[in-house]
Amino acid sequence: MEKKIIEVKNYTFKYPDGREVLSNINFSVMQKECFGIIGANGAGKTTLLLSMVGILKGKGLIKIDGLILSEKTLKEIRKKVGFLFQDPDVQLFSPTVYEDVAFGPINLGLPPDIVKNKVEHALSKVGLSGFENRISHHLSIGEKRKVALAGILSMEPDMLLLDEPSSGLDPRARRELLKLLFNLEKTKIIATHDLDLVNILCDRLMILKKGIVVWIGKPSDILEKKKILEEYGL
Amino acid sequence: MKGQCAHRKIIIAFLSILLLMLVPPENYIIFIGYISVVGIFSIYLLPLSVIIKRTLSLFPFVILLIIFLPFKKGSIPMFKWYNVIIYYEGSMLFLSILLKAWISIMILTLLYFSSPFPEIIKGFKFLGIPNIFILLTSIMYRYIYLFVDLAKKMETARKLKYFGKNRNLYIKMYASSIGLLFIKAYEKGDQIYNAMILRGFDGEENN
Repeated sequence: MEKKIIEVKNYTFKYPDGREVLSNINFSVMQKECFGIIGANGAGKTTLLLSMVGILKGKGLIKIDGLILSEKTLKEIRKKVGFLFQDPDVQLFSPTVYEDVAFGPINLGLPPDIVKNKVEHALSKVGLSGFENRISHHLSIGEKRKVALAGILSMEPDMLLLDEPSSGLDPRARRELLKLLFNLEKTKIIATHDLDLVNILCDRLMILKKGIVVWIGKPSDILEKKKILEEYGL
Repeated sequence: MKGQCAHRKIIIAFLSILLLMLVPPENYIIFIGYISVVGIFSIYLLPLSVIIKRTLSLFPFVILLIIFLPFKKGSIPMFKWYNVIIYYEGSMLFLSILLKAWISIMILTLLYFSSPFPEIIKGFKFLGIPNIFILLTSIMYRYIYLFVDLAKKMETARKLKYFGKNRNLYIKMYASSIGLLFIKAYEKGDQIYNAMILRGFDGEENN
């Protein structure tokens, strides 16, 4: 962990009806750091992640690997950042697993043999080698989430933004995902309710309450303090 | 990627449909021939009840489009009741369009059930169909299952909440769930588009 790879300064996001979802957010993430964002439902976790890849646009500064987020840098930033959605069904839109995982590399304009290598490598990384011809909507939710993750890994991003990666998983699938994420040597930002997951994976934590950053620090410093967590809706 | 390619089946299916469209309205022998051939193949692949259920489910939409043909088109009256006249030519046209639609749906059902969907997609690619069309077809196929599943869940929830015999309430509940399904479809569409652009999709064709 040497340099700051993500910086968010004075970021505020309002919906068109004027409702403020994120208010003056400030934080930074170091290279190869695993950074957790926790908060109650509606705290603004997903909004913040979507803002970091330019899907939602608010006011303030977002800097990813030295690039200030703007229309000009959007494409470059999206190549560097992989985004895992909470609902894997949103991310799997091709009939077979192979085509789903190949979607990103194909869009990057890579030749077919390299695409094939990347797909095989990504699938083996998530433990789904041999699933190439399986039909996406016939998979279990755990497998779907792994395929969605493989679809991101096949693009070889520098950092990952993961929105509720463990939601809806049974204990075994959750354990497998945890192990998988633990072994991924990339910068990770994880938005979740899963306090166990952040305790195991994250180097630092940020707590959001109604769109405001109320706490940033090491997981061990806060996760034991049940009363404070309850105050923050966790 | 392993797996077969259904390009021959696609060509045969679309040529059959194209030829069927060229058949003049009163050539019943050709229609009977078509129905016999497609029917035999369909029965060989699927139970008769499934074929009838699947092919007839689209009939209301076709009928809705051509319902006024027998009343408007033609000069030889076939049936008259006060000011309502049913013409011979219009009725024949109505019948032939209905038959053509039914046989076409049967051909497409046959194509669908004789090849797994990934093979059909591979066939489209082999035939040089534009990628954007293939992508849209894939997405449609993929999400139909999700929405059918969602609609079934909503139907179960509706049944569990509906105790009385208040028909108006049931209709109201039914209408709201259809509305909700549209909203969910819109939201899902938005999220899918976001997921696509985050993986480098820019609306352009990529090979």
